[in-house]
Amino acid sequence: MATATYPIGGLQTPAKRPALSEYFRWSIDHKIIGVQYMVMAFVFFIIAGGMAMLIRWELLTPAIDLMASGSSYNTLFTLHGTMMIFTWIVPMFAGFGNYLIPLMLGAKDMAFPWLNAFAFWLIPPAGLLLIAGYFVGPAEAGWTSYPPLSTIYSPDGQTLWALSIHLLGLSSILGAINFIVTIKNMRPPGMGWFQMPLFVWATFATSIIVVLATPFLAGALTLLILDRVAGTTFFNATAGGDVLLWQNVFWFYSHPAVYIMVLPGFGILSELLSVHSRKPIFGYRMIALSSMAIALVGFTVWAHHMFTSLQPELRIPFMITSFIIAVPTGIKIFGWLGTIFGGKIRLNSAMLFGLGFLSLFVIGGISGMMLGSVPVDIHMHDTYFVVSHFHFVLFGGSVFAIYGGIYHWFPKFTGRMLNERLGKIHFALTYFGFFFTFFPMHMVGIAGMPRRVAEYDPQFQNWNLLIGFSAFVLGFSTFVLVYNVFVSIYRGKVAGANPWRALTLEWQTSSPPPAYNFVGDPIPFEDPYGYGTDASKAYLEAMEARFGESFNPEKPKALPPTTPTPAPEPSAGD
Amino acid sequence: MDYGHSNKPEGGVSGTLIATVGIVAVLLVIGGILIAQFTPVIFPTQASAESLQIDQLFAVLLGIGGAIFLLVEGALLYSIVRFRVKPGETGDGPTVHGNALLEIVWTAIPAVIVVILAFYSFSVWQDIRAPKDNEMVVNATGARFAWTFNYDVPISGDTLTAFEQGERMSALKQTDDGGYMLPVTSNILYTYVGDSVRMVMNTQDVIHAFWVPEMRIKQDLLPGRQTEARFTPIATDDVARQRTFTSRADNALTAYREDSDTRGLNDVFGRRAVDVITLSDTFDQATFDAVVKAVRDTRAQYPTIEPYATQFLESARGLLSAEISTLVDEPTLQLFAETFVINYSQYRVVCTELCGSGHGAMYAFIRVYDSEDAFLRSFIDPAIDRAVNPPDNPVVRGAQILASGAYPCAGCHILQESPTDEAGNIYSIEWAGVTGPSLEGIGDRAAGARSSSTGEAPEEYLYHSLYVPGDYLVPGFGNLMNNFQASDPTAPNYMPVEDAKAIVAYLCTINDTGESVCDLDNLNTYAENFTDDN
Repeated sequence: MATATYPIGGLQTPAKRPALSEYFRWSIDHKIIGVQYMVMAFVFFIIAGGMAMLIRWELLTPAIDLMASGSSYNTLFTLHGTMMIFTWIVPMFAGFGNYLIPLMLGAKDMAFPWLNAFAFWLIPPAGLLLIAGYFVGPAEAGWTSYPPLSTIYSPDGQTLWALSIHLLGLSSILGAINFIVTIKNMRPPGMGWFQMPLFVWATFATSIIVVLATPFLAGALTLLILDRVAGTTFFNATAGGDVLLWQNVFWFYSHPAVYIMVLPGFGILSELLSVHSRKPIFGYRMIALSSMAIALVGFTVWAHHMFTSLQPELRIPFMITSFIIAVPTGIKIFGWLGTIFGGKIRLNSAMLFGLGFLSLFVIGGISGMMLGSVPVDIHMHDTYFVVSHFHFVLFGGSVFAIYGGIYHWFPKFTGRMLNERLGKIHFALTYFGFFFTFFPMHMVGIAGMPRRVAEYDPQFQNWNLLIGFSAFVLGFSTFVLVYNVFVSIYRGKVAGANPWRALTLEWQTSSPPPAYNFVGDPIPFEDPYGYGTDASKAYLEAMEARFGESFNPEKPKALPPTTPTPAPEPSAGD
Repeated sequence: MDYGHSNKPEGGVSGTLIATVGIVAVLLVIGGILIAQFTPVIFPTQASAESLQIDQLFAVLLGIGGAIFLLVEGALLYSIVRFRVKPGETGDGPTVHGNALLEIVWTAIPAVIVVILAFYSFSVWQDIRAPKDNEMVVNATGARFAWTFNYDVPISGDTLTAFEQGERMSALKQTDDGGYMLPVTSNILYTYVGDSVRMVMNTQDVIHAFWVPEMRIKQDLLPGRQTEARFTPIATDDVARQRTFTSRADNALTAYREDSDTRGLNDVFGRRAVDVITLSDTFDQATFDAVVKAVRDTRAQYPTIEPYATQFLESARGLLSAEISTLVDEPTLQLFAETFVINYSQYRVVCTELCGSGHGAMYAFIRVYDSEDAFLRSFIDPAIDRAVNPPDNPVVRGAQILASGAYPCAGCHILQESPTDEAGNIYSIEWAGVTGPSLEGIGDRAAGARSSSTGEAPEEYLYHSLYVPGDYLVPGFGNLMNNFQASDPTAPNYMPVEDAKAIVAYLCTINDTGESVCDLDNLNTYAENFTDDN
């Protein structure tokens, strides 16, 4: 076993990047679609981030001055929230999933390539609908759009908003079905459920949530649209409707949606920490199964978003389930700590973002526990404390995972390494910009500043100045990454197949992978995180012999601009 | 690495490991306790009985959270420092796949912690929502973008006789058990230390949320559902705001105009310094005795002393000039203070549920008097007095109605006036809302630009705009105001025609000269013929 060599099927074609025009066309190649998702999501991220900058600019002073009125401010944060959730984090993770899942499974493509493309192409029209709202009176009821503010008190843009979210939800469902079928059916021989990389587990859990929860969002949106355009009164209390109906159904989707937005980040983090500390995942089964536990328990906690509106008798059960979900989350955090503990930690940009995720997400978890307690939430609900909490989870968590994932897999996507020095500058600006933007929000919220206000008590101005200027640093840091990406695509160091010497299957092919990913059937290593064993070294050596030398971050040496023709198939093996 | 296997061949867990774990655990507990000490620093004043319990619960959560924080970040930093590869080092870490014991421990301990927290939170929640003895019911109504608070004041005995003799029984509501109530409406939530308040809340339009940060109490107002919240104000360590009987309106207006950058937000948030008259430079012993006598007489004569006090103090000032400080003993000063200075704390009622364009400016004040006596003298007695002795002059009556906060105008309009009646009573109006058009100088505009653009006489325009504000929108403002109802007394936004006429009469005098720009006879005619439909 220790000296085993691994047979590699067929000849690989040299790596060649697809032409730029491929990315603007209908394509059923999962790698093209993955990049389409990611680039489009990043564009929306920049737009919605610009809105955040305007929000912070407005809040530098206690009065309304930048905005024309409270309405335009409401529009701003409504679109900021909606776009960050539905057109940035969710499609960005869908992009990672599209690109990586077939590769990690050694598959040629997703199970339903055409459906995959269709799901992606639903998103641009949805984005257009959101933006079109500006011409008919944009939505201004917040991303949660509680009726009756969102029904009888909102302009027509609210209808377009609902239609847009409808399309995005449909896209999510189609994508998730595709992931479930792919993961269930297309694993290679030799890869059982518990040999799957944890990113695949996380995507599987996420997809189950999407398929089960998103139809509820669709139902709620349908009722909302009917109330707005067809004169129904589902949410109109004066005509027998009930405003809590919306809140219950909306959060029945939107709380699980929080896990839709963070579980793939957990998966990415597991990959990063194991590879860059060269040590197996600590407690693989517990981490894999805790994703499933979170997915299930996540369906029972929704009403903790309604502790100030829900019937008082019903609040306690939801407090208990919300506390319970802290346990599987804790298992993951301790498992990750166990993974890096005693490892050989490489502090590169990808790892820095991974560790940054861990250090920030735990703060979001702790503030989440506080919010889970009904009496404390009575004070905190709808204050900046909540704003802080969910940005620690969704920015400190999801976005840091996305950044880490970009540094980690960019070599696979493009065949080039990202610039490490720029990466570290990006990390430092992002980390400290983030911390000083969002940590002070805890204090300002507890002290009495509600969320979603353009004018506030002047006693909070100093806090808001600190938050505002930190936010501008955070906003600027994004462009360091953008610059790095553009420079590195053309001038980055050639990566080769496996610069991180990782064991998962996406690295066991050239970078970027050829059409249909692998020539012949790839053979997975028995343990995706089996670092430190002789068998894993032999496997990696066999792969290097197959695909040629990869860039080695520890002994930097320029590789020729094109990957050498792979060596002939090794004769040893079965 | 050693992960504490208990089944190692050597046998047993090493003593060093146990000692290390013990020391780390002790450090974490100490760290958590230290972090929990920050609770009072980051929370606002504790102004209710509930806030004590909630802050205590939060401190426990913060302590546990702080210990977890130190554990995770500590392990993270330790790993980064200790296990970072040295320059030139290559190779992999040890192949450790897990440790069943450790994994069970870090599943079980958090599980136990959350069970304890759930029980603790539950018991605090049960206490907070439990009904208290002798609750004072305050009916709160939220509307975009203002609050109104309704009190039903029981009327009996001599007070009831006063209503009967003054033929003012129509102002009272009969209760189910045959007693009488005076409905009193205010845009300030009045209460006092030790008063168990039960808020009964309704909204006229969208969802709002009632929050007083200092009370730690929050509850949504839901269309179609009546919601409740309870809190009991307590005495605070803050220096209570002191209310004296000068009008603050002039100062407020000046401050507002000078401070135009913040658009009167200091007014909105109630943090402007309040003048406290110092008594030290105006009295000698003989006149002070006279003052004290006069104070006693005044209090005996007028149970609702507040409106008369300013006038009284002004004249006292004019009379007196010598130094007082050496002449007045402590009990006398105390009496004076009890008569003229009423202590109260004032906090802001915040709307925390997004309700539209004016959400950030939707506010009200909650005023907590330091005793029930002060509450009655400052709020209830004047309300009864107004109901028993309504002024005949419609201008005065209009000023009185607006100053009483019976209608929720303050949330959206600016008006800083302190009109007086013939007896010298001052009706202080201090509105600083910014969602609607300012009413400063409304008399001039009604007679000028607005009159010519609407084609109605000033009194017609104003009257019309009270009931159907959407017909004549001021440029730059949307149709956000309530349509008041003239016909249905049970409607939440009922405004009797008599009230509307009085308000219009008063608004007509808000101009440079202070003389009415309106024809009140024409107003009566117009009101008789006016219907909501036109």
